[in-house]
Amino acid sequence: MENILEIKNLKVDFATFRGTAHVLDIEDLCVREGEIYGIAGESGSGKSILALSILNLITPPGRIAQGQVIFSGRDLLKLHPREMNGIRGEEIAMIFQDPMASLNPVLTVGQQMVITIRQHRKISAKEAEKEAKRRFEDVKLPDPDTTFKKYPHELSGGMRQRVLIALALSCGAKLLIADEATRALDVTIQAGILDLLRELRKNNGTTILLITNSLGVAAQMCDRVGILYTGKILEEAPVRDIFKKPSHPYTKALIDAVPTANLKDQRLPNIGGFVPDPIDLPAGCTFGPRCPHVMEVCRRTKPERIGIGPDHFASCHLAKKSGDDNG
Amino acid sequence: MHPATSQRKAVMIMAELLKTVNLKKYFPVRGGLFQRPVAWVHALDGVSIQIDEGESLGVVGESGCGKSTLARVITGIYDATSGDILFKGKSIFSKGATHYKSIREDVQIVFQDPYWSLNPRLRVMDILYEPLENSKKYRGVNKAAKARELMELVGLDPEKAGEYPHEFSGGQRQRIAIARALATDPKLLILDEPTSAVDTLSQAQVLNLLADLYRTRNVSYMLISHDLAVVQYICRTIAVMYLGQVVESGRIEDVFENPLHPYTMALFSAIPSISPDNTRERIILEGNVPSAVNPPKGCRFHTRCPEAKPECSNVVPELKDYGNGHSAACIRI
Repeated sequence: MENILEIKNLKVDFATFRGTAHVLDIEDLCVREGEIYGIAGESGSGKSILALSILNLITPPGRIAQGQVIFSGRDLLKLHPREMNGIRGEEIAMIFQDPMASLNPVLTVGQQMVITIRQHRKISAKEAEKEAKRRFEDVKLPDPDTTFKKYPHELSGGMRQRVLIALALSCGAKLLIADEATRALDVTIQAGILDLLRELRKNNGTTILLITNSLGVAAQMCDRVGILYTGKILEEAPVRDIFKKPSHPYTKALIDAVPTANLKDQRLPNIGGFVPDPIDLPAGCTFGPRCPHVMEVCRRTKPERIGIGPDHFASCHLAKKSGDDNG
Repeated sequence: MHPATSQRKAVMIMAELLKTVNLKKYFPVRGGLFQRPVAWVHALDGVSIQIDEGESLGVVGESGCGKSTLARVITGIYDATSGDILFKGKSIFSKGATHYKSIREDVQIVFQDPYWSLNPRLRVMDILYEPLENSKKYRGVNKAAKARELMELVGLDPEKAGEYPHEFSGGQRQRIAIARALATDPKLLILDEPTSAVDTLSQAQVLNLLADLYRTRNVSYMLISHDLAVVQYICRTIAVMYLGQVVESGRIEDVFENPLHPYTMALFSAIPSISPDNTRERIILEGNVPSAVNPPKGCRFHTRCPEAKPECSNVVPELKDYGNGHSAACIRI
């Protein structure tokens, strides 16, 4: 499969009164055509900044300090703003966490669909309305004709999220960025939305970059998963390897911290400490101060990203290069 | 077995701590010129739950099912519309305001978001001492010493008793909230989504603390959560709520291994497991949770139930016991 998105050496800084906050530092991230790639991380790990920087939507005091975001062969960070506007929505679409905040409360969802569609395509309002209702059907909104005339506040959380997905897909985007798209929803509603995303990938071949703080969602949805911490991808692997053979101590800690029934009456492993201040990141490995296996070298040298198996990468001094085990 | 021992054991198992009887809470929907109630939100509609001494009950359900309202009615934040709450067998409404006040010390609550539930203008020691100020039992207790004791109990550095909440992380703030709830040495701790606002790694620490406190102190839990993994980890009994009613309850292993109510099955099947090999069939519920202003007639779940029959829209199913305290409200079983 070909890479639809490649991110190289991307660094995002935020200028604050206390100093520069280094919130994102992605060495190498590729999303392949037709896959669901998951970015999992705790709050403050830089997940949303990653999504925004792909669309070149970082605004001051933030700035993209360096790097490339290559989408279908073009570096998005070098495009003219007008060209970039053509990419947003038409080729890359995004759905956000809070659907109420992303919809316009004074327009019906149908009007918003028509405006979006006509922004990108020269068709009549009638045709756009037909198209909108067809999209509503795609996302399984009940009774598209009635839904079309409703205002966002008249819809439930799950339905609003479906409207957002319909909006995002209304212009046939190839890459869909879902930034915590199901966080505000109940599990039963979440299950429906996740099912819908899976179907969209299957039927339309839409590539999905799924950003989530839930390891469960990542495990059930993704083909490959990257684990984000302090703006860096500490480990990346196919979904089974991440959960069955985690290599980075942080990934292990995250997985072990999920409570299950079999763990009853056992203590959950305790990783102390906090996510470090992005203004004052520790030298060497940023997880070092909390890592149970920290070594002297971790405090001094930044670990390199090394391949430890097929498609499996980790940035840790303890990780062994593939093939090293036997030699 | 020595007769006295067996008797004591029986007493220990049976000792009921808190019981709600057909508890109802309706909120008015006001409208018109004089803002009179024009409709009622049926937030709790006949909830009967029981927590025994030393037990831990998990209350689960989707948002809007009334689980937080239940916590708030039990703690007296909201008044009940009708029904009764028995604490140690006595109605907390029976003797008027004084008795109601006296159980405040015995029933404490930890709220969901420690960023909102702690007063930002108070030092931690003042936050921890506040519940004691209204209590005769603790008159003359040394404030700093008590704060130190409570902070040690929840694994915080007692040297930080003079700091303000913003100087602590989310997980630590939740520990402060737990310490405050434990200040009056309560018999029942109500935990309203205690870990949903903290990160995975901090959640593990808070859960460890709750499990430790449960083992070492004579305290019962009522844990409200939408995260079934958390409930499974902490609790021994569970009640599943839907639209203001309990649809299924029982020992946690019975309910998880053999869910009886179609809603419980759908809810359990919707939890994303962290095992990527999980091939469990998902039951996707159609439609949305109906409005609690006009709850559906008959079984409240029939509008979304994958196995609904015509009679479900007429007959109100009763909560029936299917053995070992495992009960469910569905006519199909």
